[in-house]
Amino acid sequence: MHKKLAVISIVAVLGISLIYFIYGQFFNSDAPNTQELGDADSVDGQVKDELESFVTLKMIMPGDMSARMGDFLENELNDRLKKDLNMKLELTYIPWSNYSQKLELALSTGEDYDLFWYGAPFVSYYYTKGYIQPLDELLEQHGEDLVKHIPEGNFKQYEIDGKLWAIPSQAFTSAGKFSSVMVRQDLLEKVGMSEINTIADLEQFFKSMQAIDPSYYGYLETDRGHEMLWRELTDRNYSSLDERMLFIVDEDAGEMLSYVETELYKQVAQLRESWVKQGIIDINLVGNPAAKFDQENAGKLLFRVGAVSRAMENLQTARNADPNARLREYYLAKDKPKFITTPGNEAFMITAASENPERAMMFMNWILHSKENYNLIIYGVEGKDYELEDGKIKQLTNDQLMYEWMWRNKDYFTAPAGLEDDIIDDMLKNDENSRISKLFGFHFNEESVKHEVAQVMAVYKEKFEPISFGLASYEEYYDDALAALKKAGFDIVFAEVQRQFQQFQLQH
Amino acid sequence: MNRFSIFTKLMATLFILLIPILLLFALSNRTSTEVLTDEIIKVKQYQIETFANQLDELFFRLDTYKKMLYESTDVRNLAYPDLLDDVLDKYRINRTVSEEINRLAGYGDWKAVIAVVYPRTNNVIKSNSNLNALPAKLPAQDTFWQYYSAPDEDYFLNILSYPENPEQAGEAHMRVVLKLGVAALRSALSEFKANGSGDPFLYHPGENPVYNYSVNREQINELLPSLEGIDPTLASGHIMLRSDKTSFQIHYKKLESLGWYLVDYVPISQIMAPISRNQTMFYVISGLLLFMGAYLAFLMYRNIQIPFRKLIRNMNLIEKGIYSIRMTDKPKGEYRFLYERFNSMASKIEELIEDVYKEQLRSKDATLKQLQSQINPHFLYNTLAYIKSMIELNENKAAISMTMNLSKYYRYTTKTGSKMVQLKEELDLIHFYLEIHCMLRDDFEFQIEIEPQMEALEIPRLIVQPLVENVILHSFNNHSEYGIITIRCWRAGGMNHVSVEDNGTAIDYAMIESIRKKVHSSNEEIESGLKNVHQRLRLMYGNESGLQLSKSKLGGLCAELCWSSKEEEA
Repeated sequence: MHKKLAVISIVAVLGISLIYFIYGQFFNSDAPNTQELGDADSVDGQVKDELESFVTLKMIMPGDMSARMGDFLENELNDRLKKDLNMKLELTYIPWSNYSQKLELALSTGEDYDLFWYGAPFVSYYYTKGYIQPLDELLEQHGEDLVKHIPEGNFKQYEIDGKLWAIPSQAFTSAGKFSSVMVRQDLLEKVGMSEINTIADLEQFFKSMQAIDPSYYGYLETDRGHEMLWRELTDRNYSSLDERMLFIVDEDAGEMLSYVETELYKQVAQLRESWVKQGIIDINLVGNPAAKFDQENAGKLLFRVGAVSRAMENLQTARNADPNARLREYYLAKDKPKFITTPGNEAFMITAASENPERAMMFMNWILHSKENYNLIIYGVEGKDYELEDGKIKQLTNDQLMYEWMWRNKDYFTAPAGLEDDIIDDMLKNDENSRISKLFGFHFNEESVKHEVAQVMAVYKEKFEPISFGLASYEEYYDDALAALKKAGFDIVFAEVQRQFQQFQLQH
Repeated sequence: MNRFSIFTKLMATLFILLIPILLLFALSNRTSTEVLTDEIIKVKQYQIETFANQLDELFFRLDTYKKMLYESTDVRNLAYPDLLDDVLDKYRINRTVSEEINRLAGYGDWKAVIAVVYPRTNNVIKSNSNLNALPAKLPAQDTFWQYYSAPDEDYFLNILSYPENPEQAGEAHMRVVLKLGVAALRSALSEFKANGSGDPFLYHPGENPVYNYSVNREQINELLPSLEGIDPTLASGHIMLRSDKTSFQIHYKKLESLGWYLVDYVPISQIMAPISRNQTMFYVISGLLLFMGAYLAFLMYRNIQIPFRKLIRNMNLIEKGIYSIRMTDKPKGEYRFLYERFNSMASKIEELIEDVYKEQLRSKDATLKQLQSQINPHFLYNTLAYIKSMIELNENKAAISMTMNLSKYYRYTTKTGSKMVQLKEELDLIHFYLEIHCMLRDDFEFQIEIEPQMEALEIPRLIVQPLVENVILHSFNNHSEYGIITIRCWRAGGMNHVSVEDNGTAIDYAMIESIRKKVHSSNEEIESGLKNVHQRLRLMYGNESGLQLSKSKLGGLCAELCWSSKEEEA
């Protein structure tokens, strides 16, 4: 009897091995995916169904990919993302200098990117252009942790026509952003001063420092920095519509104004002119936007515009040049209220052309899902890229991974090592004495006046920037510049923005 | 030699069938492998050459940017800020140069740092404002895509100074600097890898190779030593290399711009893996086939040849006369049936042979007894005495009659040549025998009745005579009355009957029964004429035949022979 059994089993073995040889490859190809899915513990059953296919998520990032990011992305990060979300992240970096143009090119040609970052003002523009898709449903289904860790109010600023168009990835203090001044505190103390309260303090700081060491530069930031001066130059409260500095809002009257036509503009221009004369603004470097970074990197810049957390963000850079460097941000006329125009300036948007919007939302949600995920994507691997020192992050390389400021979150915030407690305090208490700006939630839709806007901006750049920078005399060049601006259609643009703003105010 | 004949023949056939197939398969396999290898070499060579050309093109394009900036009046003018008296002019030129550099850096996918450095005014305009965008200290000499190591990222540097080739860095009025970090190259290598196969990297003797991001470093470290053997005069080519288990094709192409080699390797044995897997599968299946064939042959040998050989051996034994041989260890299936048939055949033969043998013995026995009775001195003495006294009494007739009877009786009994006689002859013998006894004793009479169609019936010799002799010897010896013997031959119901009846000593059933027992007993020890007759009839005509005893109507015993007449009729 067992002879028969033996023969049958030999034949069976033969048959099975034949089948295996022929179809073996099909068994193999299926196996790994199902296995990996089994490990995904951070997602619930419903989501699992949607994770069945392996997806490559394409994301656009500003700046340049650091060497470590390349490595980290290919290995540790994507291994983890494969395990958790069955996806792979592919990053395309566009340098800061032409981020705007190249991003728009990528969006307008419908390239298959899924996710990208940009500043708050662009949300309404991309919405108008139809580059992005509404996120309400996705957020509801896959954005549990985003909702949990980002205040409800922050989402409101990206609501247009009752729908959400971007994720306010940063959820941190933000009042009075770009209206503070960041100084080299160590140098300030070196010249015998302790803090900055007035414009005169800044001028004094520069003068005293020049006397010690003339290789230091005062102020090289010429594109922004108006708001910082407004706090002292006027009693009223103004907020700028955007960084183009064409229109401002009177926070008390709720009125939209043409900035270049105000007395305030004249004051700023004349102050800048005096700074050029004093040498605080260096005429040889103005016009080269990289100069401020170069000198800051070199540890030669005394002060520049602050941005709530810039003292923290730039500390590492400053320390590289000068190990004793300390940074601190000050508000001129510090008793005046600060205004929250955008609670977080950062916006993550999912392209209209995205093939995997669910996965893009899951990825964003994954970042804020746990402190572990958050630290991994921002600081890298503990022990390899960073160490924890007294509960503060000490980075072991200068290479940036995911930018910390993009996803800065009050729930997960860990201060960098070496950062003084008073600076941390400044940041965390920044929103005290703050008010919601009249501009909160307002988006200027330029579609109807886009040609005029383009012409106005060209004229502004050519005629007004030299005046704003203090290079061209206000007295001498202003009338001519304003005439050119009007000719380019400025009044039409102004009328449109006023109309939209009034309409917005009526609705809210 | 014949022991394994079927087995060996089957195996030989299998081998003869398989070996050419295996040879053909191996040959075709080798050919296809060679063709495939050649094809892979061509494709891979083309791939890396194309990619190397792309890289070269890119470096040359960056070089073109460098020259554009170098020739630009605005860029030159910034070297001499004192000559530009107007502040606004200076601002505008600064802005234009900055924008131009950013525009150039923005073209294409590669993020090279493009910068113009003015050593005299300490002014730098560059496309990237990162901390380490440019090395802290630039080399004094102009370079053309020179490789430098740095702690954070290695890079290639291309510098052109005005005036050209200054001896010290500070002497130049203006320098156009291009820096390409290896990260960009690594991305490009990774992208190339993602689009095709292989694991490309850049190699230059004496420098750290530039790898792609998902590099298999262990593998490459193994290959690196063999790369040192690349002939520097060759711009491209390939090397075959064999390490532990895998064999590799290493392809290389020199980048004209960098002087580095773009290297990619193909684990040829991995690519060939499906083919060699099929090959192994084929060999395994052939092996299994051979094994199954051998098993089948063995089964045939065991289940057919061995029983068959046993059968033949037993046949031979039967032929030699050993009829008692039987097949044992009966197998299943057809052979069981054959074995059983053989066994029943053997037993039948044994039985038949035994019957014939016994019949011969008994027949000889009968003849012997009859001869004994013939030469019985008493019988002969009585007969001769009778003849003498008849002659003395001048009873010549009686003497002649006795002499004639005696002579006929002896003639008949001595005619022993054939075993079978006609019933009539046997009855004649009995007639003479009884006639002699009649004359001697003169106390009985006899009659013989025979159906005429039975006269020519062939019967065994001396089959009836013992019955008559039995009557003379036993029935009439102690008999006082006048005796009668009746012999009758008839045929009824397909059976021949011959009965011998007498009116001798009254006999009862118990006696008849005891005689019958004696007669029918198979015990060879018991010898008797009647038993002999009974056995001979049964041996010749089967079990239906035999001797039956009963009480005669005449008063004595009736002994009746009966046997089937079928054989004669057939």
